[in-house]
Amino acid sequence: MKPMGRRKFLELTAAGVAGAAGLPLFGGCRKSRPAEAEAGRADLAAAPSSVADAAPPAAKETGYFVENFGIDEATLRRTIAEGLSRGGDYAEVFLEHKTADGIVFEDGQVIDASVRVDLGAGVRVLLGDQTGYAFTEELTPEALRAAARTAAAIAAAGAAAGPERLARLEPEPRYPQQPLWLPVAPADKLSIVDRVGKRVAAGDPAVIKAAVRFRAEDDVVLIANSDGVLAEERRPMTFLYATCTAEKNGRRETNWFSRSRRRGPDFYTEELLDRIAAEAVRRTLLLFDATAPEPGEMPVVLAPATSGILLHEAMGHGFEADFNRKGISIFASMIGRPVAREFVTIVDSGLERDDRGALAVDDEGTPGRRTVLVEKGRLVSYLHDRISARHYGVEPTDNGRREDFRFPPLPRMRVTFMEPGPHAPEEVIASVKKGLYAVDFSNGEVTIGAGDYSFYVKTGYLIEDGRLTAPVKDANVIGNGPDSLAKIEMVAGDLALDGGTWTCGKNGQSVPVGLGLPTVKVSAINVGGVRR
Amino acid sequence: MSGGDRLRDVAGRLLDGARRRGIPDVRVAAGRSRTVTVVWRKGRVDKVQESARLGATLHLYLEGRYTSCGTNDLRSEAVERFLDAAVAMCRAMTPDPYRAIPDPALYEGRPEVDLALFDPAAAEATTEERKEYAAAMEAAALETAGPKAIQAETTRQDDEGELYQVHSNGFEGSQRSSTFAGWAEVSLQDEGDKRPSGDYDVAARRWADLPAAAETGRRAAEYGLLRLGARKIESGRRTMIVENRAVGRILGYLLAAASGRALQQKQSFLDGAVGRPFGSERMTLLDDPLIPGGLGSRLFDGEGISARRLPLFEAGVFRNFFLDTYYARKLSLPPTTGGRSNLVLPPGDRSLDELVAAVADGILVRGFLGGNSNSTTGDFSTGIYGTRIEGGRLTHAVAEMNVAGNHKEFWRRLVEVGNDPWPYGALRIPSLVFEDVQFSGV
Repeated sequence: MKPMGRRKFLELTAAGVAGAAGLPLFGGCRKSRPAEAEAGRADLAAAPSSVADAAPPAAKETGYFVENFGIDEATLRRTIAEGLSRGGDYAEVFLEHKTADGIVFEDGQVIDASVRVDLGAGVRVLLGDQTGYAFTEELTPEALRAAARTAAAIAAAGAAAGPERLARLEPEPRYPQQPLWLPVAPADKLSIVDRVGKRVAAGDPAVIKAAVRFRAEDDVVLIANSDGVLAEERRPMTFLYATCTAEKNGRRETNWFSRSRRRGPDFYTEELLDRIAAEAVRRTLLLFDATAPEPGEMPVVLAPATSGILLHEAMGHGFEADFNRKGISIFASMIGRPVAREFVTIVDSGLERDDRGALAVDDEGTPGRRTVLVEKGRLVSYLHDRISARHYGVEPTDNGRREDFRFPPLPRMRVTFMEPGPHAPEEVIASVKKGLYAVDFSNGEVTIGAGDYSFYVKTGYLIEDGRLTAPVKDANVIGNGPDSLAKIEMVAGDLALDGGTWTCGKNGQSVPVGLGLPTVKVSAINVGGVRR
Repeated sequence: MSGGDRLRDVAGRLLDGARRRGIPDVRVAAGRSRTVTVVWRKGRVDKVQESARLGATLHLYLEGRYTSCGTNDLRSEAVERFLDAAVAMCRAMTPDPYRAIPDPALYEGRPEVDLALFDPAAAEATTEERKEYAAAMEAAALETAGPKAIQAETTRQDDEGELYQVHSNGFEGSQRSSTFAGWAEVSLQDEGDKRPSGDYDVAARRWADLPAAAETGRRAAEYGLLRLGARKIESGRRTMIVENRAVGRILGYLLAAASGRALQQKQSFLDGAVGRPFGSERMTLLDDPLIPGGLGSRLFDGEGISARRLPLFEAGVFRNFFLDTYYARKLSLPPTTGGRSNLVLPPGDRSLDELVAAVADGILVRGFLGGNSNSTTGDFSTGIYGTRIEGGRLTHAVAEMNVAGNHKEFWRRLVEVGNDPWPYGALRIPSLVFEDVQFSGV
C-alpha cells in the first residue's frame, strides 16, 4: 500500500498489465489487481441520455464529448480561463472516457470476463516549470470549473486571459477512429480467447496448463489548451497474452507469448491466433533444454525485435527531458556529444501505424512525429513535454503522455528503435568467441542518474566460437547506459519492431509502448547466472 | 449525503440493479478517496495535485457464470447501461462449476477491534503545512548531502478514503482509513557523468507515526552519499545482507509462488511443500492483518473473509498458501485469503551494524535493479546495488552486479535476521543475512 507517484519507478514489463482503470481507490493506495480482474469494458450507447441534463450544445458543434456529455467549446474555454485565473501561463483540459473488456481463460474455459468504465477530466495549470493539477470523475461544467480552480492555485497573481477560440487539430490518424470493440457481441470476444486457450492446451502432449488473458479498449480523449488547440481522438487497444505450463519427467516450465495492437477484432485472424498459441508452447518446451548461464561479463548479441528493451532501458529513459532539465540524468550534459559509433541511429516515433506505442497526438495536444535521438552516434534530442521544450527552447516532440486523466503528462517514450546498420546478422554472431545471444525478455529497469540499467533474459543461447550452442534461460543482465551505448560494436540490417505487450512505468504511471532493434552486439555486459 | 451514505447509495443501486436483471448472487464494493500531493524542489513548489475519487466494483454470479466489473460513471442512466453490459457479458459465459459467491461462513468471526487506520488529522492538514513539511525534507537533504548535491526533490502525500462492501448473501462491511506519506530523493554529482541518487520513503496511517521531515530528508541524502564511487567487484559466492527496506523485492518473488492461482495453475515451486521444511530455522513469516495502524491492516478481505493471522512459514516449514474462494474450491482446500496484508518476520537480536561487523566478505544490498523470478521453477536472477563488506567493515559502494539462485535452496541460506523490522510499510521485515550467495560482477 504505497502512495502513488512517490518513487521514480522506471520499469518495463512484457506482462501486459496496463494501467489500472476505474478501480475505486481505497485510502489512495494503488491496489494491484489480480490478473483475472484486471481488464474491463463499458457500454457506450450511441444515444446517451445524459445530454438532457447538460447545457444544450452549441449549434452544429460535433465531437464525442459535446455529443455525449454536452461539454462544448465554450465550456472548455471557460475551464481554461478558470485555470488561468490566478496567473498561470498555460492551462489544459484532458477529457477521457474509456471502456474496456477483460477476459481470462484457464482450465479449458473462460473463467472471468470483466466490463469496466472509466470517465473523468484532468486540468493542468503551469507557471514556468511549476504544475498545478486536479481531476474530477464527473464530466459536468461545474466539476470542470472546480478542478480548474484547484489547479489554478499553483499561481498567485492576476488573471491571464483564456483563448478566444479553440482550433480543432486534425492529426493524421495512426489507428482506426471508430468504436472497434463496443459493437462486438460478448460471445464473439469470448470466442477469440477460447480458441487460443484451447489451441495452447492441445499444442503438445507435455502441456499441463494453458491460460490466456485478453483486453480490448475503446478509449476516447479530448485535449484543449490555452494555446487554442483542441484535439479529440479515439485510442483503441487490445492484447492477447497466452501462458503455457508443461511438464516433462517431473519438471515443470512456464512461458508465454503475447501480441498487442491499436486494432479491433480484425487483428485476431486465425493465423495470428495459431501463431500466439504455437509460440507460447514452443517457448515453454524450449526451457526444458535450457540452463542458467555462467555468471560474469561477456559480449552480448541481441536478437532483432524484442531486444529493443536495450534502447528503452539503457538510453530511452535517460533521454526523457524532465530528468535532464533537472540535471539528474546521466545524459544531462551529453546533448550534441558523440555517444555511440557512427552506425548507431536511435529513433522514438509516434507514427508507427497501429503500434501499441503509436500516438497521433500526445496528451498535451502536440501532433505525432518521429524524433531522432541519436543520429549517426551523436545525441541530438531528448524526449520532450511542454515544460522541458520551453526549458530548452525547442519544439515539443509529442512525448507528453499520461496513464489517464488522473495524471499530469510526463515525457514518455512511444515506439523506440534503432535504424538498420551495416553488418550481417551472421557476421555479428560469428564475431563472438564466448558470449550470450539474448532472444526474449520479460522486463527491465533503470536508475536514471547512475545510468545503471537491467533487463531480464527469459530465453537465449550461448555463443561459442561464433556459433549458437546451448539454450539458456532466466538470466538478469545489468550494465550502464552510456557505457553500453559506447560498446555497441556491430549493428545488422535486420531491424524489426516487436508487437508484444510492453508497458512502461514511470512515477507511478503506466503507458503502452513499442520497441524494436536489429541484431546488435554489445562488447561487454554483466550477465547474472549460476556457476555450475 | 455524507461520504459513507454516498457509498451505500451507489452500492445499493448496483446490487439492486443486478438482482433486478436476474443475477442471484452479487458482491459490490464502493470506494471513495481524496488525495493531496505536494512536490517540492529548488526551494519552491514543483507540483500540487488534488483529487477525489468515487467508484465501484461489481461481481456477478449466475449459476457458475461470473463477471467482475467496475465503473466510476455513476450517472443514473450510465449505471443502467453499465449493468446491462455487465449482465450481458455474464450471461454469455460458460458455466464454471467452481465459481460461486463466497460461503457466508467465511464472513463469521470478524474481529471486533479498532485497527486505528483512520486519523482525523487527515482532514485537518492544510496545503501550507504540507509545503512546510516538504520544504523541511528538502532543506535537511541538501544540508546532509553537502557540495555534491545536484538537487533534492521531496513529496508529501496524504490520502483519506472509505470503503463499503456488501454481498447479496449477508456480508456488509466498511472501513475508513488515512495514509500520510513522505518521500525524498537526492541526486548527487559523482565522477564523470554519473549522478547517483538516494531516496527514503515513509508512510503511516497515523500522523504521529510519521518521522520528522528532517529525518526523511537526511536519510535520503545519506543513502545517496553511500552510492558515490560505486564499482562492480569480481564474481563469487559471498554473504549477502539485504537491508530491511529493500527486502520487498526478494520476498515478493518468493510469495508469487504462494498464491492459490500459482499452485492451481501448476506454476508454483511450493507445490507439495505444505508441512515440509523449505527454508532455514530463521524463516518464520506471518501474514498479519490485525496490526493496529498497519498499512496493510484490515478486518475483512476483498471477498469478505474475516481477517485472521495466517502463518506462511514457521521455523523454515511452509504452512499456507494464499487461497481465495475460487482457487480453494478448484483445489479442494479450505480458503485462507486471496491477498496479503502485513507481512511480519520476527526480529532477531542484533542491529544491522552488528550484522555487518560479523561478515568477513560480503555485500550489504540496499536495493535491487530489474530482475525476475520464475515461480514455476524457483530460479531467480536480479540486479543489486549496495555496499561491500570486508573484514566486518563497509568499504565501498557496489553497483552493476547480479545475484542469482533458486528459492528452494536460497532460503536455506538465511542464517540470521536483524532486530530492525521496517516500521513504515506493510512489510514489517528486518534486515536478512544470507550465506554463500552467487554474485556476478567482473
